[in-house]
Amino acid sequence: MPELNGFETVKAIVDEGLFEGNVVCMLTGEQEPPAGLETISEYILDYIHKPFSMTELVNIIENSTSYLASGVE
Amino acid sequence: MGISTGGPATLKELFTGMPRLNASILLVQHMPAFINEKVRFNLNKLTELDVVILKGLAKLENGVMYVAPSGVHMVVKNNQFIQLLEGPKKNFVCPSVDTTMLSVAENPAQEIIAVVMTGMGKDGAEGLAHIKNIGGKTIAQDEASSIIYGMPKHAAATNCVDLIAPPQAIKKGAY
Repeated sequence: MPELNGFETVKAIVDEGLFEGNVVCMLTGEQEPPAGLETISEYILDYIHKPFSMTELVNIIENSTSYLASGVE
Repeated sequence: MGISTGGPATLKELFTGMPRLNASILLVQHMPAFINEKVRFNLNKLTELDVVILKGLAKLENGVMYVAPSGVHMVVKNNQFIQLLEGPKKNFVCPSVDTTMLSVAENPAQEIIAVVMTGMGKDGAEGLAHIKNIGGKTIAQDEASSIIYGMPKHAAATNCVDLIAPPQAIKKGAY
């Protein structure tokens, strides 16, 4: 963006060992992810594509934050 | 049951209000390790099933959902026990849905159901076909409700799927 797309960005974060403590939700214009990115599927918890509603966006953010803030240890 | 990207929201829809079933559920959700316990906690709040992260070896019990932890495969032994198994990634993932489903053996006395839901890639397709071949029932999530129609699409392409349906329909068939 412009040099990396979102998937390549996630892969770079994982490859650099910087992923711990984060969850990723992709917001994209692609109906389906490009082939070959199954290697990072475990890191992308959720995915919405355009056009999306504000409700969808809020739900996806709330779902994601629930994994970061459940307070379970 | 195997699921990947889009899993948390889909599982929420599927398991909200689900009663304690007269069955064991084995869940493989591709996810980073540090949210394993949070996924378990969130699921446990939604359903009367006991949701546990598998640790070591366990005897399969009705009313329990066993969630595979990240980084290790989960396999069934003699259709009575479930255990963790170290091994290489399969379909680029560990735990792999295929590895779990392929470990299930034919047993006419048991009703075995394979479910493959939203996610990238093809994990679960081979396992689902195996379950069909040993006499089990098979379900794939439909395209319209799949956040990513990858894993269910590959499952459907095996021509071994009995039912293609959205989560609400899968839920109604569960009990």
